[in-house]
Amino acid sequence: MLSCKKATMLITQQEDRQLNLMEKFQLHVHLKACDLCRMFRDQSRWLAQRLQNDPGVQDKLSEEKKQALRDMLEDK
Amino acid sequence: MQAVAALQPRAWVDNYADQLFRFTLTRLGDRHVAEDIVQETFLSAWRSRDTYNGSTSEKNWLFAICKNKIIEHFRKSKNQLVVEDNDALYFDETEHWTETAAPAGWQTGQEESNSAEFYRVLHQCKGKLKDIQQTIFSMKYLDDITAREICKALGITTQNYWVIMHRAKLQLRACIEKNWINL
Repeated sequence: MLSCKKATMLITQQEDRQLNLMEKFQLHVHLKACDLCRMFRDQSRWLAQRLQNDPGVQDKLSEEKKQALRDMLEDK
Repeated sequence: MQAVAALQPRAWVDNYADQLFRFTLTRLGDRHVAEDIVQETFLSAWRSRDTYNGSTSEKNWLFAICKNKIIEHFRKSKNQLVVEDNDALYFDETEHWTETAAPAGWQTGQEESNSAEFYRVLHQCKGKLKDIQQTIFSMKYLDDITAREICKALGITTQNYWVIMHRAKLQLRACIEKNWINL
């Protein structure tokens, strides 16, 4: 049986590539038996959605830095 | 000459500096590096202003330059990147979850998860990741770039990509679980 370490790695890879038949089967068998990895899979999916919808940070450049940039472009 | 006239370098700072800064900060996490990259973006843009042909908007053109600067930053620092396949924190010697790292059940209501409070914690947790992890996360989740293209852009192997990505996800998950009180 697949270990949790390998199973979670397949869960991560599944987001980016098609697993082959053997991997799919092994992961399926593992997840049937392992609550923790099932939780990891569900939470990963949930987090992936949040990461995609991340509105991003709201920080601004400081006024000093902006002035320095303006000066830099003026100087040209 | 006409195309060059469409650029307005004197208005760049007022029009785009904050947007470029936020864009970069989301992808890098380090304020000083982000400031430098905004500066380099304007500088490069100014130097190559004659090549602007108006086929994209001024804004998209500046953002494209900025994206390249971010990727360049990683290609430069890549050599310092040590990819350790050391998951001892998460998995024991039999490769099962360690007691401290085992996932707990989450009560994830739709409403709270979209709250500003959740994203504050998410940003904090993302900030604790290494730069390379943050960049890969942003390229994948925000910019929707495929794993293959990310590897090509950053000059890393697929194997390294999985290790970096997987470690980042384990770390982020654990951090959210620990710090988001609504769970």
